[in-house]
Amino acid sequence: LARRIESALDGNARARDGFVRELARIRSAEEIAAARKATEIAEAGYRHMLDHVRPGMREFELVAELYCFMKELGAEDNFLLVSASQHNLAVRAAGGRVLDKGDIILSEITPCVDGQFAQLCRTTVIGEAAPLMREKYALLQDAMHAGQAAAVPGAPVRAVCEAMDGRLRDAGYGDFCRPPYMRVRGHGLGITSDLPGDLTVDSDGRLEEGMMFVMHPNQYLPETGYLMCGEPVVVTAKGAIALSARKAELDCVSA
Amino acid sequence: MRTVHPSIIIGAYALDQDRLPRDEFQIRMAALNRAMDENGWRALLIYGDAEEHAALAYFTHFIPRLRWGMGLIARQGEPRVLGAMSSRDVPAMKLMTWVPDVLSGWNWESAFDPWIAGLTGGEPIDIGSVGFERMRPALYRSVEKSLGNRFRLHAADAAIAACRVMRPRELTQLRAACALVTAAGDAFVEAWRQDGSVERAALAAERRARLSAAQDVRTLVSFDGGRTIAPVRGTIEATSDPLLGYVAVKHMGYWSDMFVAAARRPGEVGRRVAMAMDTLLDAARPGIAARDLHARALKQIIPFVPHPVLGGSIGHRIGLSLNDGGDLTEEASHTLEPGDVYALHIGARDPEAGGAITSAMIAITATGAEILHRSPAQPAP
Repeated sequence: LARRIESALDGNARARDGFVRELARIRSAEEIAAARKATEIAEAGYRHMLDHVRPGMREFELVAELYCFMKELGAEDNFLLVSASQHNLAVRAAGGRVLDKGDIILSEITPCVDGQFAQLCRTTVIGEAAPLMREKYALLQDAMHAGQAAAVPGAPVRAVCEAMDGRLRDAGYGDFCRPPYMRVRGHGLGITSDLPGDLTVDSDGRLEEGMMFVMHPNQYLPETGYLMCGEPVVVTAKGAIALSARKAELDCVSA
Repeated sequence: MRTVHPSIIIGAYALDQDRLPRDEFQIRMAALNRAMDENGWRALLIYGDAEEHAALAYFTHFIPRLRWGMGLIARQGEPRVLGAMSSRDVPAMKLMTWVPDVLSGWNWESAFDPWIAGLTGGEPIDIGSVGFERMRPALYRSVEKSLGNRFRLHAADAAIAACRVMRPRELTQLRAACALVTAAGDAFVEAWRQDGSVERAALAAERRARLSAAQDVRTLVSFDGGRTIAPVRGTIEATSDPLLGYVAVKHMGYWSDMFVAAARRPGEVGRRVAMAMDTLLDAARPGIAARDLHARALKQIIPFVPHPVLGGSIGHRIGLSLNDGGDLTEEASHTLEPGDVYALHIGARDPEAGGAITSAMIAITATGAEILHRSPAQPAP
């Protein structure tokens, strides 16, 4: 089809796939309002998950409850990944695994309202979290704060990633700041534009006030496995402000 | 009729080797090899994306959750599967397929070029392609660049579709999917009877299916007494009587679907579509012409008109795809064949009372048709 169109246009067609993406890079008030609503739904969904999760459930049962609960609140779609293990390598779509005491549940909760997605990344332990786990999770929270502070208008995307990676490097995990131990430090969210794109140290992007994306220093650490910590944020003069009311904590539910 | 495809398929897709052991895929690959030999193709490139991946899933059991996947099948040599995913996600994706060699397609040149370079022989080397009409131009250009002048690409969709015969193990999967959609349909009607909310009813059906390991669920509801049908739109308190809803469930890779209709005071239109379905189920057998089946069904709904949401069709094949072709329409030229599985949908609209659609799924056998499920019956008016 592309070839036929080019032929009909006498070979003068030029790909401008990024045109709308560039034009819509700054979120409108309506998009921000939809993102706030989506974030509220995501937070309500996560609280619902904490209330419902128990050992003996299968991953897909937990996700069924979570997905349908958020849909009832107005989520028209949901990029929902929830998986659990005693030592995770990454988050994935829910499977048939039976949840057990000591599991670390990873969740990437991404409801969509009026075409606008918002994403929370959360880590939940079934039972008590060991002190080492709390110590390592605090490292991710610290990296998140560093990323938010660095994400001011005009900042290169790579500098924001460096700010997050720096905290992990200082703690001795510099070798883990690359795939497969992590993927990206965040990414754009939206139906009209996904700018600023993936938050990577290779990005040539630059932040502008009003851009919205998810920032997530999700990270595999050898002592704990993969951990998730992330919020939807909007770039302001003071840095990236989270849309979520409660920031990511290492949550524990009774076993 | 279309449903809304989600941004990601969230259900579990690990290959269950108790249900689909390796020998099942050896049988399917043997058919593929015969097709390659008959056409002189040295390899096949089978493309699929999250929305449509029936051929890719049939031969590899790889199902792209988002973006795309491609099976690289050589007549001689090891197959490879490429998925549009990060290398970090490869270990989880490997669980979906019997093909051991799974790589990230994001690293196109290092994943595709060495594999294609392994094909040798007189040039140009002929290769079949499946599903390429769904491919984005940027990826297609990468394929073209990698193939260069050494290879000649041929559209193989029709030849490969002929290899995809319904296998007995697939029928087992389909029966399980039908049991699940039946449970979901029951939940749909039960919830509607409680307060008349059509969206709450659709959500009850979806919850029932997802709690039973559905991999994907699509629902549609009527907000206007069955005249039109639409996706859930977040108006949870909206009510409608009569109820007209639709639920499709994907389970272990296979789709089943069902229309549900109910009314506090059932009307003549519902009775007529039920009669039309009786006629369809009686008539369905191997060798019957699709257009004949269509004519018989429509005769039963007179004086009402066919429901417009069905677009002039009374059904189509179903399986690894929610619509696997073979529409049963007035113009259809095919006949029903043993091994075919059809979703039957018959509906009518009454300008005064609204509309009703009923459905069933059937497997055509050597001598007749096995009814896999049927919409719940409405009480007589």
